[in-house]
Amino acid sequence: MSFFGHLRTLCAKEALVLLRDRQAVLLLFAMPALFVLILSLALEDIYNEKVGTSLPVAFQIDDDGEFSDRLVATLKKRGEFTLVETSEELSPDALLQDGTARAWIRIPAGFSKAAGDYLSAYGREPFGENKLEWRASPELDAPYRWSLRSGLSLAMLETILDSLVDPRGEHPDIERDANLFLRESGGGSNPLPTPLQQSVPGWSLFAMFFIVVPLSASLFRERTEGTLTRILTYPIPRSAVLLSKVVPYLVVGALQFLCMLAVGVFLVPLVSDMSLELGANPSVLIPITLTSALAATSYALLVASLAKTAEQAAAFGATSIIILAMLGGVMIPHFAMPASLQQVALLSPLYWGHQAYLDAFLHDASFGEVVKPLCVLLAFAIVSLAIASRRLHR
Amino acid sequence: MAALKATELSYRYRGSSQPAVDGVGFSVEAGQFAALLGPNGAGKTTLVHLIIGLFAADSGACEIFGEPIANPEAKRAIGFCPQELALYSTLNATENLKFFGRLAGLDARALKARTAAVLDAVRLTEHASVRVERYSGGMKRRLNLAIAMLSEPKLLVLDEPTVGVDAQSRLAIFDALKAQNESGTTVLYTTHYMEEVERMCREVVVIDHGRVLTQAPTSELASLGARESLILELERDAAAILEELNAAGHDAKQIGESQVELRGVDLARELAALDALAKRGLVRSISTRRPTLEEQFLKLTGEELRDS
Repeated sequence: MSFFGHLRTLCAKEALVLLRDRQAVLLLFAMPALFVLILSLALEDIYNEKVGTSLPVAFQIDDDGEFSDRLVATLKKRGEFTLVETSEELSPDALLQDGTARAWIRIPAGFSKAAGDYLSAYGREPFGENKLEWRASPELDAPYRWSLRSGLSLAMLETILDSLVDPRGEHPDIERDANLFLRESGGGSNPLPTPLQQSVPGWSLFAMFFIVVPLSASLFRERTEGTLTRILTYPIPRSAVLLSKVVPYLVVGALQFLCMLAVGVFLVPLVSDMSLELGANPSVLIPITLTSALAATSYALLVASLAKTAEQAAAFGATSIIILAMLGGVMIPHFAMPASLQQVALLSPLYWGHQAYLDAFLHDASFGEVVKPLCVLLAFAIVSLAIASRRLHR
Repeated sequence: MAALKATELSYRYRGSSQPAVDGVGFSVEAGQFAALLGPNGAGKTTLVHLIIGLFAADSGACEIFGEPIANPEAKRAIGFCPQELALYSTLNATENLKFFGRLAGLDARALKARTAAVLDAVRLTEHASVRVERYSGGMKRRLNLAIAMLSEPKLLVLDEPTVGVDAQSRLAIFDALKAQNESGTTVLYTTHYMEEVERMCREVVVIDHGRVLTQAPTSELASLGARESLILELERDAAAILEELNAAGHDAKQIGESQVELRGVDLARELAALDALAKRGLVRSISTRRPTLEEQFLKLTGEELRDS
């Protein structure tokens, strides 16, 4: 029988043994699919705030003066706010509590007159009691609170300047004019992933690397129960035996990604407004997935070869994957990590896989543009396989 | 022709100061049913692993039907039944047999025929589609043997194939092995059960401390270098006489209330002692007993425990 004949026989057995292990199948497919579904939905709001969607703000306008009209028009023009219609029966606290609005702004009666009086006697008289009042939801995080405050200040400044420089009744676009003085250098801001773009590759990688649990258990069973010894008594190349542990799990890794992709593309949109954008070059996902699966399988073999018992392999394997996933940006997005931790993340193979996926999703990366992370994963796989092979052949 | 020929085989485990197998040389003729005996830690399993080509010897050579063990032809001639139950428990018997049969190079037609034949030989045909995890210990042992017999090997190497099985399964294993041997297959059998050796094996190789102590036909080994012992039926309690005999330098042992066994060391002295006892009217009758294989084995390998 040829090398490939032996390899096919060994792979078929490996696949059959894996398929008969229902717990392993659940662990490898159902668990990460649930993670993608639940965490994408759970993180939707947090991500939306982080990527700067318009904040729903309830306006209560009790003043009908010209200054108030101009201020409201300026606020509406700004991107930070979306005016939310409110029922007058609802108190500000109730509005913020039931989630209808994340902030509440009230322009009191007499605000325009107070503003006019203050500007005409500029610096000589205090503003008075009719001040604009605003309140943010207690759950609104500090950066967003700051953004709300600065948005209000800028709108107010624009309205004041508008009033002061408008002797002929014309309304100059102050924001546009201010931008004439500015120029941003560099490549602009880095686009952030949507919850699905974060979760689907993240938990796919987590699932791929989690094969350390069933693979190490299977390898230990073969070593202790004598089946590996029996296999090695047949005239077959030892490299075929080692490869038979890699090839089926490469296929499993690819199937895991397809499964998570299906959850992201078909299932999540059924229960939310989110949809998964794959980028302009989805074919690049194939080499990314295969290289990631190779790195995951090699790591599993490395752990199985270094451990002394099946329990040790399973415990160390599972724990190490959770740590590598945390560092690699699966559980905590890489962009949300402090700079020092972002450097440590480079040690995790999951980081490189995740970044390659994000490059494809967010930057429409071609194969050439993901070669670097793929080379890192490949080097990791080769080193792991070499050590595992050496130890298993002892 | 020698089915198996080991010449000066040596093997030392990494980190060990003593070789596990130290210059072992023996051969087993084709068609023979030979036992490989040795106490725990004697080097049996290491020697078996060298014979089947699982380990590469540090020095020496092993040939299977004239082919060096490194050759695929030599490996193809061997069917190995390990001490462990080397089975996939989530697969059924047929799936296990098909997997190992394909590794042995059997084509689809041969595989089907041989699977049926070995399942029948070990009486598992009606359980062929049951997962191994639901088998009893005896059924697993029989399947373990069936896999070794699957490719119709010219040499069967069995490492304690009957450990922990009931009498019925043991009988089924013996029947299958006997039939296999009668059809021309050479068998090398390691076990700790002496009665199995006496019942099944025509030749015995005894090893200890990694070396061959002796190789002989089973029927001759029991008496090899040891004479039959004398059994004395005494007229009175044996204890006092036993003390007297041992004080005089004889190797005597009480084996019943009034029975003493005088082990064969020096016939002239034993006859003199016997004559003295008879004159005092203490001996009722005299008989002889052949030493057992187990006694001969213990004599060869010593009675001290092998816990390390």
